[in-house]
Amino acid sequence: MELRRTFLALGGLAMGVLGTGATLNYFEESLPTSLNPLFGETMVDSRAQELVFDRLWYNDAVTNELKSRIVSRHEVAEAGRAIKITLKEGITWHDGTAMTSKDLCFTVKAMLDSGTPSVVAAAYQEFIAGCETQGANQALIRFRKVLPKPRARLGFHILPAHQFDSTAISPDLEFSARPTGTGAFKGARARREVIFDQYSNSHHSPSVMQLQLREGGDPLLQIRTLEGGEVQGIIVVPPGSRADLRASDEVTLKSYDLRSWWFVAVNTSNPALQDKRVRQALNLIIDRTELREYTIGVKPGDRNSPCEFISGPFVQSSPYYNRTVPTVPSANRAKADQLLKSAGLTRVGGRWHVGDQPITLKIGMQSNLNNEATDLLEQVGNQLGDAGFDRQTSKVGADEWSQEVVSGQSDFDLVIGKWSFGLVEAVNDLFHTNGRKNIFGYSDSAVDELLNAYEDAVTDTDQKDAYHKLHARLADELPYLFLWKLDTKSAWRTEVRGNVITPYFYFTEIDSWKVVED
Amino acid sequence: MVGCACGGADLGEPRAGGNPQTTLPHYRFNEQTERRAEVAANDPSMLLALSEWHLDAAKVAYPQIASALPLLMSSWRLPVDPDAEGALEKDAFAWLFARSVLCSEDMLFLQAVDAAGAGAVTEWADKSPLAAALAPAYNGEKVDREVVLDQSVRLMRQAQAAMVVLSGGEAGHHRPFALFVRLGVLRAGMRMADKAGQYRDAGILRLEALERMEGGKGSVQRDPAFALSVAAWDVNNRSPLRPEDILHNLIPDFPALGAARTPLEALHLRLNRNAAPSTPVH
Repeated sequence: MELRRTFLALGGLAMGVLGTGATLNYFEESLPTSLNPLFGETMVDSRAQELVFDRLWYNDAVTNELKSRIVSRHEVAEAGRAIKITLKEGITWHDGTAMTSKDLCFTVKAMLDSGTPSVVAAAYQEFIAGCETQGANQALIRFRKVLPKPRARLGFHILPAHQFDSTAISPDLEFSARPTGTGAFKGARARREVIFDQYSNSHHSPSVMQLQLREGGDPLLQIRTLEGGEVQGIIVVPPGSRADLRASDEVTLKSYDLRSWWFVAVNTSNPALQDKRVRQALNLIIDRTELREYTIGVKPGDRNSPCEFISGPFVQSSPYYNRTVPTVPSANRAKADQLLKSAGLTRVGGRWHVGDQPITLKIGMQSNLNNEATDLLEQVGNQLGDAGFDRQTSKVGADEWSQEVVSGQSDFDLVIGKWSFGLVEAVNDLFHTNGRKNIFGYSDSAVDELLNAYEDAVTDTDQKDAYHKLHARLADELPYLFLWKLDTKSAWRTEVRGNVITPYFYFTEIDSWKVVED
Repeated sequence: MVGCACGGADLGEPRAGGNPQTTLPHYRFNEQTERRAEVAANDPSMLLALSEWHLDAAKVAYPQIASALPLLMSSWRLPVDPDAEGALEKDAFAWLFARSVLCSEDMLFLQAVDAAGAGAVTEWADKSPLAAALAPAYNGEKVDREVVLDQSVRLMRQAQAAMVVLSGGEAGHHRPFALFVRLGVLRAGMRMADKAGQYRDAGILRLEALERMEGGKGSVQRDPAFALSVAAWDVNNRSPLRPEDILHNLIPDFPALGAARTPLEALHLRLNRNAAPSTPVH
């Protein structure tokens, strides 16, 4: 068979040349807001911090095996209420200082310090009681309760004690822009980019000399720059560009496993939006099918769509997703009008009023989301406008989003955003009255009860049931209009090899990344 | 033939176009807690019986294929199944359509890898195109996964070029079919790496094959059996997120896969409770 003989003649391989001293330039969704892992608020932050710091334990990107680059031995102690850790010797911080057990305990104490305003740390406060050094490289971390698998819980990044004056760490320190870690790269944030320089250490041996993180911008420009070879990667590829890149021989599309869902958060403190019938009406005004088609390019009936509607705060593939709660793919203006009238709103001159005041909705959107869903803010505004609401729209930069919107200090009525999760899909902080990321201070006692039930659940089934009930409740109460989940894809030029992307953390395996010049 | 009575349930006579008589989940029982919440579970031996039922139904649908089935099904044989022998008759070549093997020698090569290890590539390099592509990736002991990745692209391009020659010009269907060739190299390399004890390298090749397979809208390369095998591999690694996504994407077209949801969700929930804390990130 002629064809088979041709294939059998496939001879030796001309290997490419390993480029030493290679620099990788890549586009990110935005610049990081902080390189201090205690204050990471965005996925950009998480990915950047992964280059600069080591986590005590991490999961292998391929086999999920629990590993550590900095722990040489561990031993469960005190009948499961503590873990004794021996750190590897010879690891240095980026300033040359040796890493010791003092750094590990400092990190724990900083997380426990009430003067450290860190949401990341707050999660560890719930089960870590303290840390004591037991030698230059040994420390004992104590827990508030018996933990069956403590290593899996200890995924925090280690901080250098000598770089801080106290365990009360402020997010405003210079450290957040110019951190010192033990990771494969030393990072420094400039005005328009972040430069990561390789740092040789006993436990890291990256081939890449330098990474340059650039803020993405116009999606078309990002793609052209990638195809032209001026950058080597794009972390989040706009859906509309994926087909072209998939067909390219010079670029490889790669999955980035991340659970993300999009939403419109509703300011329930606004008198016009306090009545849930108004929120339910907004939910019926938003036409998700149209939004998805116009902004992401997914047509109705498209198979294998990267964008799937949701009816609650989980992706549909999650065990927590309540499949009995239907999505609302299309608008229903008649029913929306009915709900608005029953809530006491009146329509005058085509505009909805509360009393004699026309309703103007101030709508904000995380600006980088526009790269994935072009003109989403305008489309949502148009749909609300057509339905009789005046509106003002504005895009919100990453810093303002973190510092004002998520912290509940904005004056928006609606904000469009995206939440991302790893394995743990806990949403308590989003919807609990005391939730640390409860954007508009939403409060509902039944929701609080369900969230507490989730926290207190003894069995897995109880936990799942609590979140199923939560899903149903939130789909009715609608502190958020739940939009969709959108798969995330990255693109890297084919000369970048060994680029295994870790779910959620992305750059955990950066040591194996290399550039091969063909 | 399997008109199986399994676990006390009669699956019914295998018949073309039909489905075995069973209901899922197989068991429902209550937790030993105050709330006595209901838990669902499936019986894996019943699932094996179901797969045998479908195999017998296929034989009923097309009895002429019986002699070629052992070789065609060799990718899915159980360790207790005997090795397939011989080659496919020309009139059975059509069964290779849209598969990641190029000829029956490729299947025999893969069977040899399963039986004798990665070193079988040397013996088959002059008979099997996949073996020819993979021979440079094997140094006698180890499989070089980067070479496998490169060779998968090279063979794909060769196939595409050959199609152009045979067709007298480029056509839109060339690339999708060339992708099958690439997948073939990746999957064969994966099996070699597995047999060579290179679990992680095999994993990287496995995930690369999955990635290349999911080619976007209505991807013709989508192989639910392979995707499911990747999901099972992830579950073995106690990593539930990707399997959940794989299953979720396949279930609309293959509803029977819903059987896997129950235990997978149980795994996720269990892991969730012992995982490092995290908060939602924007």
